[in-house]
Amino acid sequence: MAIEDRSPDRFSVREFARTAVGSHRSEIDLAAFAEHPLDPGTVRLLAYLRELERSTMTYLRNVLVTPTHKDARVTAFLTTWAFEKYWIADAFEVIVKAHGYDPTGIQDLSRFRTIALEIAERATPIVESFRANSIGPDIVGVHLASVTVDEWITEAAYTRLAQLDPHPELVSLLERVLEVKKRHRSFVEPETIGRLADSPRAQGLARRSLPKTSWPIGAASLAKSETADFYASLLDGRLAETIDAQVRALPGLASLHLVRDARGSALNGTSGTRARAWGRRVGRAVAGLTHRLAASPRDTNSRDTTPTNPHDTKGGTNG
Amino acid sequence: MAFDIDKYTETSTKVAWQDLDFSDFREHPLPEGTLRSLRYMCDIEYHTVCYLRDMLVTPSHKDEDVTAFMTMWNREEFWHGEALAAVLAEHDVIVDFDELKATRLKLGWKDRLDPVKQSLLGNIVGSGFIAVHMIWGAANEWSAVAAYNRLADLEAHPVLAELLRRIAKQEARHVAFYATQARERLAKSKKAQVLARFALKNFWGPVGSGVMTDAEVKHVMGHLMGGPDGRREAAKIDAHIARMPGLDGLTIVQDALDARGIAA
Repeated sequence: MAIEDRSPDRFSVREFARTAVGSHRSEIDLAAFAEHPLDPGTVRLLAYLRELERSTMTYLRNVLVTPTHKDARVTAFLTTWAFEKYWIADAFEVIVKAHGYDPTGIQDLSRFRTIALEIAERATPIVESFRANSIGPDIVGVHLASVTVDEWITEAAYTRLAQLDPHPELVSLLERVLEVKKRHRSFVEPETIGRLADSPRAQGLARRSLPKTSWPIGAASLAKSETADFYASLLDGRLAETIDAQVRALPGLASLHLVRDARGSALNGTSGTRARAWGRRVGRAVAGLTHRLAASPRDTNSRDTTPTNPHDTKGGTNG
Repeated sequence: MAFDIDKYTETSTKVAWQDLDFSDFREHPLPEGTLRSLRYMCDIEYHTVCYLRDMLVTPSHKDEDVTAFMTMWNREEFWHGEALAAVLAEHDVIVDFDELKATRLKLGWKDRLDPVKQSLLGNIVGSGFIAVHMIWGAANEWSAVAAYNRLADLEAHPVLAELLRRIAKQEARHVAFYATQARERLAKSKKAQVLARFALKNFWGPVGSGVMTDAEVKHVMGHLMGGPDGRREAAKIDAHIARMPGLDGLTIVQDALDARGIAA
């Protein structure tokens, strides 16, 4: 009997692999977007989110040169995780393309940043390999912690996006995506907690290395203007604090303010971006109202996509 | 012919075996030598992530088509591992994730340095190295197709043969990707040709030779590539490689068999 099946409460990586969620294309009604297009600001965010979901190979590149690649249970998880994220990215890409949006600007980096990134990209696996191999298996806990934090950030962003632009088609896709991500979280959360709780050394490593990560994962190689837009539009100060509180509840990480700091540095000196993001938020609110008005006479029995829980209204007033 | 990456990703699926009657293995169990080869293949499929790692440290990780392929390929190979593990389980040979970890831990320092070496080399020579990565992958996938088909022929067990042919069919699509990429990239660059020739001639080894013990490598090579029929398959793989731009005359698979004293 495989180890997977021995403890009933443990996340079954085999079951996860067996029931992986692939392409979402057949469930996306592009005609609905043609009839009621998304707000251009939403499309821009989806294009950015597509890049984040698609950055798994770059992430794996740095993770697999470390002892993490020795852990067959973790690599089996990451194999299916990358597959599911590929198809989430694909779904966003289909919608972005249908709106005729040109996503090339997302990767427009300044000449200086391009060179710096090139050097960093070339050096990272080498540095990581030496660093992490001298650290040993404790690095696995740090890698899982980084996936956990990233899941929290992106899930919060998707939930917020669905509230800001409640286009029924978008909301239904985001709901499916959140279901997929919930499973990723149900593996990485307990693994992170367990591995950090077991090792003060892993806690120390996580305390030092997590603040150096560019959140969300993938942001390091994307245009700063787009990361600023991500924070300004989707993660207000209050939401950032909520996620940080989750991070601080992890064993040994009580001193961290990861999302607050990442948000701060993304928005720093980009007040113009904030103003534009606020403008787009108003635009999306109007667009959302239009979607609801358009949806209601067509199908009165359809699922109500109007945000009704108290978080929605509260979230909407924060900036 | 160009490889259609969108078509590949859309049709990429885990290999199916639930419709096959595996209980047949209880009545007609496979011989010891075959189980040993299957065990080897199963471990290698599960270890694909290690190869993925070696490849990602080169500049290949930035190419969207390459990363799309890698994502699907890695998952398909994982499922080949699962399918072969299910066959082994019918023979009470249990392959679990923790045991695989032990195999990987045995690799030691040599393995730890490999991605560093690959990255230094890959990044010094830049995108020309992607061609090496691709021809390397093609050589491995050609070997896999040959190995699965050969075992299906040798064993002639109807259930096993059907499963192995299904796996080989997926491996053939991997060949198509790697070979198309390799051919295009080698044709474009003389430097890439020289580098690929050098890398294959000096560093290539049979799939799994960095992970499994020499005794296991020898067993599988002898089982599947030994004798006149096995050698003929090995020569076919070499012929595929030699047809690539700048790689004529290479006989890396046959050389590897000779070096291990596998009977012709």
